Amino acid sequence: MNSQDKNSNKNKITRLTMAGVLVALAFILSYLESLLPSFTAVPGIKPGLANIAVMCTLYVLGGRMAIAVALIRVVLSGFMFTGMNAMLYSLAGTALSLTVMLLLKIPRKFSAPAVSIAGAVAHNAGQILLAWLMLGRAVLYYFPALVISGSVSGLIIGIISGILIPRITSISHS
Amino acid sequence: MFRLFKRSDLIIIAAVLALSVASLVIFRFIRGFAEPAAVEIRVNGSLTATYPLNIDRSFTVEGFNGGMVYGVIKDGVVDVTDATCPDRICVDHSAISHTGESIVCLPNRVVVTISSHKTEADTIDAISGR
Repeated sequence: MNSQDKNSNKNKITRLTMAGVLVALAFILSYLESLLPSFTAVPGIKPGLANIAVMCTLYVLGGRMAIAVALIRVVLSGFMFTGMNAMLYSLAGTALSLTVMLLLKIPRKFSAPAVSIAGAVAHNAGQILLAWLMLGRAVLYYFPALVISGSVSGLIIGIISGILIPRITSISHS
Repeated sequence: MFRLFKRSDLIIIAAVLALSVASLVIFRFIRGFAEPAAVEIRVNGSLTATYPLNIDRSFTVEGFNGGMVYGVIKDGVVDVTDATCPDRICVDHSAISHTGESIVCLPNRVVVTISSHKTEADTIDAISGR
């Protein structure tokens, strides 16, 4: 019983440490992304690198930790790099994206890249919905472009995450 | 690499495809009713005519020196098809369809602009401030 306690304690510590490292990773990736120039005319088209960390958290540590990592990342990078306004958009996107990814992960039928694509498209949809509320329906013009760009970046991020997840899992369970 | 994907991923891919097709369709639909953008014709700086962008028609503008500019509005796209000027740059100019775009004919001092008379929040440029 004592050893079991020890084991679960060690497990908790591992999970917490992993979560901390993943928050740091998400934060750094947000920073990297803030350095990238906006290479398209449409704002909001970006790779979403931080989602690599969120995807890994989701698959390695589970949904609750993924919510925590994503929210902490949004708040941190909002205050550090992007500013209040962009943080609101980021929050809206992250909320919808997390909801979709959590729901799609439950049936265990979909692979990480597919979940990531859906999450990326949901992220863009969440942002455009908030923009619709705040700026009027003309912003819906962006939606098709954002769906397409979201599925492309979601696919790339998803493939990277799909490669990383088994490796991180093997570290955290060793 | 290939094992990254699963067969049921096709459902998600199909859903995303459906969403993008649907959004493209809705996009066209919204374009039809929500933005009564106008085609403004200016000669020597003063507004001489305004046509709705969503109604197909052709137009003729008499320029500053009596030169003529002929244009067509079709399917929300404006193009200058002919002009009585030596360089014909405006004729070579590609067709315009977005708010803020313009075709200029310098010899005739004619400017064809697409503008939206709606509030600032409704123009696309207003939100790229990020």
